Amino acid sequence: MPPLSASLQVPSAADDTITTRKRGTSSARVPSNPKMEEFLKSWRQDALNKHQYDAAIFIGDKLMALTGTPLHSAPRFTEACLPNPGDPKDAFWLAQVHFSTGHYNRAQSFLTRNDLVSRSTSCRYLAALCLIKQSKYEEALNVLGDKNPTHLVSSSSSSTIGGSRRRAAGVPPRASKDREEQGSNVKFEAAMCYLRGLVYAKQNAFDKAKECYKLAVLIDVKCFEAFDQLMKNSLMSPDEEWSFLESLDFEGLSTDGEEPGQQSEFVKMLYTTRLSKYKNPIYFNKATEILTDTYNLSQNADLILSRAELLFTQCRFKECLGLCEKVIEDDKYNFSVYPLYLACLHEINMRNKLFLISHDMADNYPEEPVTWLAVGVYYLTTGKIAEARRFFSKASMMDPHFGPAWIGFAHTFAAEGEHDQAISAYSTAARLFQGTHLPQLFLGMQHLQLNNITLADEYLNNAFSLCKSDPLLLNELGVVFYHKEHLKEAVQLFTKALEIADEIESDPKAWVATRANLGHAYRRLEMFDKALEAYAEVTRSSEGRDSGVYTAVGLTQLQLGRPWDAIVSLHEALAISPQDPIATEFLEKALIENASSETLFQSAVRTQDGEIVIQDDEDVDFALRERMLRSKLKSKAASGGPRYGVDGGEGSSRGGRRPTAGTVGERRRLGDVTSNYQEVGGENMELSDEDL
Amino acid sequence: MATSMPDPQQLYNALTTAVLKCSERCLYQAAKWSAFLLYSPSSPLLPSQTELTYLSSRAAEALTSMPPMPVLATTLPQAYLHPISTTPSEAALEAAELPNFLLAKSYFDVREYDRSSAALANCRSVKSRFLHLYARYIAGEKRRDEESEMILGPLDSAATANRELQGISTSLQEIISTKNREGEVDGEEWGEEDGWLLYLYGVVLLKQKNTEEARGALVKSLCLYPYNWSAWLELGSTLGNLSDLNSILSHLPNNIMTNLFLLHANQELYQTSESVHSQLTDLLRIFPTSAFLHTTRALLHYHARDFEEAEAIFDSLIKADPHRLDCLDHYSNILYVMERRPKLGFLAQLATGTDKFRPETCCVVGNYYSLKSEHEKAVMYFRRALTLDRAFLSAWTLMGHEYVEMKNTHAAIEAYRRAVDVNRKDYRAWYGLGLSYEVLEMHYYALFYFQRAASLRPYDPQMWQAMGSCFDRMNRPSEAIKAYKRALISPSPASSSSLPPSSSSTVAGASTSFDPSILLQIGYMHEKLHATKEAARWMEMALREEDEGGVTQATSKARMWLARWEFGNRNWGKAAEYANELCQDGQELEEAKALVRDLRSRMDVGK
Repeated sequence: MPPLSASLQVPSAADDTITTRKRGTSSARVPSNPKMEEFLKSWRQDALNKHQYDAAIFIGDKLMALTGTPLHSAPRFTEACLPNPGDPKDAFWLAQVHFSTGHYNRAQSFLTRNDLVSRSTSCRYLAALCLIKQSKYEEALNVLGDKNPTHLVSSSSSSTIGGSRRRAAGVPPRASKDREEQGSNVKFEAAMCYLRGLVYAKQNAFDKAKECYKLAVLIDVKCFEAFDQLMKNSLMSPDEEWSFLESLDFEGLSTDGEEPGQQSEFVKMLYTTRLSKYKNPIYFNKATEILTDTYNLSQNADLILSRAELLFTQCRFKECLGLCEKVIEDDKYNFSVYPLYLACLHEINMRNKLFLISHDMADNYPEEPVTWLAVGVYYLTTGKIAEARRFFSKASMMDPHFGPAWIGFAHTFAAEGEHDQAISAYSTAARLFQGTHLPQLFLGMQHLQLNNITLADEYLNNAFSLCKSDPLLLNELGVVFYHKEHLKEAVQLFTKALEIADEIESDPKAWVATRANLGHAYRRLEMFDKALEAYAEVTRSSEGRDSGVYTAVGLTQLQLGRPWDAIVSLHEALAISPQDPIATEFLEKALIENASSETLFQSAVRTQDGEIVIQDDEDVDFALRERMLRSKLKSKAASGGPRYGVDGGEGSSRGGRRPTAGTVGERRRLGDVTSNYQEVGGENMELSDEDL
Repeated sequence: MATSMPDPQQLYNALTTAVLKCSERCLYQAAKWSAFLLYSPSSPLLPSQTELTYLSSRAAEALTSMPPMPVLATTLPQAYLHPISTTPSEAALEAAELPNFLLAKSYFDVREYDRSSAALANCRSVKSRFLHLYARYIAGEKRRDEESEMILGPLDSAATANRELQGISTSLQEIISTKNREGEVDGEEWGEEDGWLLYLYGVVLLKQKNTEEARGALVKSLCLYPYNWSAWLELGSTLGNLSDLNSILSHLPNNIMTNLFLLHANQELYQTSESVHSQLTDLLRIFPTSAFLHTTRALLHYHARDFEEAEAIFDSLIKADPHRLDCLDHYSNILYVMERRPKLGFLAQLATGTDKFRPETCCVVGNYYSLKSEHEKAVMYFRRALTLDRAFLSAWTLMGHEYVEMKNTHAAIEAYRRAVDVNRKDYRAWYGLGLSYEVLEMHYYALFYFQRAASLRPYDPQMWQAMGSCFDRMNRPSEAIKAYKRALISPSPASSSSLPPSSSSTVAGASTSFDPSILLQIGYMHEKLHATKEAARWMEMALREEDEGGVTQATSKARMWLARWEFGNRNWGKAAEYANELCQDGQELEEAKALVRDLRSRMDVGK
């Protein structure tokens, strides 16, 4: 038989509560048949565990009849004639079975009809859950009561924290039965707190929702659902997260008598792995290490996932992809890993794999928003923006709180340069993900592209207040400073960004743009050497070659007064993108400067003895004079002869040869010489096309 | 640089090992080159018969202690089987990874590069790492070629790059930095094997246009293992001019290979002085039948415009090895310039017979068609050559020439550009670029390209003349004069074709004549500067050249100018004298006659 699933565990705890209560109250009441009850109860439980719901309903119905007022003979008025509402425990269980089959309305009507809601917290919880499933949020809130949650905090904290304090003070502990009951009550209070948060979130009241979730975890550390909601939707900033983690009461987890350390430590570490990865990577690493070593969780999907997340924030996509694939190998449809996996595939541009995955998902899980996210990512990667947008929007329609879909949706607008629409989509994402800086960052980037420097500054600073250590954010802030002509600050930010990127050992390839920006800032500050250094680094590490860098190098060299080098660099730029207007303009400037530069007439030549000398104008003049002198002497010596070309025979023959020699020089006449060509001999071998 | 005769035995061993090592690492061209150097029937390197028997007996001895092996192997040196690393740890690694390596090598040999690379993914010996990365590099190159599609098509540009480069350079950087760190810790020296990795690093850096660093890596690689000819070739391609060569001289290892390289580099830099020739002669003593050395000599003659000599050498080379296609494209250039159409046709047939689809063959055929003025066909063949090898320099330049003939200036520019991108030392392409831009009236551009051409061949008056005329058109006569003066002091091609145009600065004993056309141009420039007296001086100088070269068009023009000048100065007598001389020579006849008539009437009036 399979082990009980997690969802069954909480109610089974409730089972105990109700049992104890029942025994406390009913022993004086109707005489019962405990043996029969036991038999039916175990049957029902067995059927439930086997997901044989019809059997469970059938038996549960009979059991309820046995232990209390039969349902079919319990019309409305019986509600009034208390105290005979039937056994709440069995009613609860019947409702539970109905819930499992998806008959929320029916389950809920059970609970309300027997007025269990007001009597037991577990029933109230289930009723609220049913309402939420039916999207009746207002009613759910009515059931849960939107009363001030602080009341719950105080009561619960006194019960847990106070409990330990009492023990420390030597006060004798209460009866274990009472404590058990109260403990489980508290658990349900926490769960209800969580549900309240869920309702608020559905109603888009994220601040309230966040408070409720936090409270739920504060009341009961084991309320993982609430913690998961907090983390998954990044409702808190990294700093907030860490202080929240510190405020949680892990001590209460320890069972009585035993040393409190182990379990609490374990849970704390598990939770730590879920926190935002921007802060405290060392602490995170320690937690993972211990979990891996001591608790043999190295192959656990959640741990692998959190490690992958860490790698992703460090832009080490390939390694991250490896981890994701490891998870997927074990559990192919582990949906929580997919957003990260898809992002990795997009970054590495593995469109073929994306194609396969999205098809596979669409075949098997057409009801999952992640499936359509995958399809959207595929289209985004292949550059089909319109299709990508359609599927992102489909995903976000299926689950309006599915952040990745919203971000992808916004990205499609950004990719098309539709800044206004992108901004509104990012704003939605920003509302959904208050704790993460990414939407704010993207908003800032959009405004930057629209040249709204002030607005961009505002958004980026917002993002900065959430996360101070994202190199990308620092880069964008640097750009803002650059545009505001605060070059020194810009340099600082770029340097900082690169430092952090280096610190988190991220792939240097991802920060090529930042380095180029650093170069630009240095160039504007007229620190040309540093600029050139930065550019050199860029050309070394960038994957595809970018003409902009070479243009910038050319400009720098031009400013340094090295037009020759500048021309070479600008040629490089134009070789990559031949129509680049900026490079062309600078090239012309450099060429003009070069034409009047001194180096024009300096050439390195090798002398007879193999030495290399630079010839300049004076050398040339000197050589010229020397030769002239010699030729004069010679002509004087030969002055007896005829002064000029009487011996036309020789002269013309030489003159006639000269043009040939001239064409020989360039290997090939650029005019037409072929016409002078005379066929020599009759047996010229002609090549025909067939020969070749 | 004097070449001393190295120990033949040692050199023989080094070269055999080099051939094996290169071919083991799939550097086929380098292996071929070394093997050819090694092979020559009368080479003093070959071990004598007695040595051979000694060697085989030693090998047999070594084998008796080993399990029985095929009999054939006994006559081969041990190294032939598997040149083992000299460092014991490396040798152990190599031995452990031998199956992987052999598998990868056989994949590589059948051109399954990705597979070859993947087969070595987890190997740790330096040799395996090299082949792993090298196969990846070749795979990337192959893909780039495929993606570039048509020659000069829209995708055929620098933007379509080898996408593996970045990954390879990152891995290599990692290996190198760990090596450096280890070196600091336990003082472990770089081994011979690392030379191969550094070679690859140099190649990758060169592709990324980091010339300086590439040069450093290659020099270091060659110091570690000098017998890798591919590395020498790459090093040669990093050199843009003489001073570059000079700057690395002191870092090169003291080895026979360095001498071979220097010879090659000097040839590529168009240095044709006596010292280069004597260096070549020295090397020929060691490798008397090396086709490489003979080709170099032919090219040296070609650069010095001594075509007959070059042709003769190539003839004998073809006779010795009729199936050798290497460098035949240069030979066809020579035949083209000499307009030996039948011979060019023969060469084309010969090359086609050997292998139709070698870039060299295509160039020969292209040249043949060009000589027949069938430019479209010529272009087709040059394109074919480039499809076979996009880095084949000659074809780019020649294709540029063809496009100039076809008056397609833009295509010509593109082709020339690619040529200089492949090799910055091709002055013809630079010159062609200059001419093309002059046609487009973009003088600043033209000037820069002429400048580059002139910096490669500072003793070539043609380059300077082109620069001069360019300045003239830009209306900057004083600079034009400077450029023309340069052209003047360079030995003119007609007078010095038989002499190697060694040096131009101290032309001791060189001819004293000047090219009158340049003198004429200088005169014109001075006129533009309104320095007519100076102009007249240059014109007279041009006239004086008639003593040497007789009457030419240029001298007649100078005379005409002088006649007019004297006319303007009212020196009727002088003017009449010049004009009469002109009539006598029969040049500029109409103008001269008119001038004479005018003069007569004036002189009559004067009387």
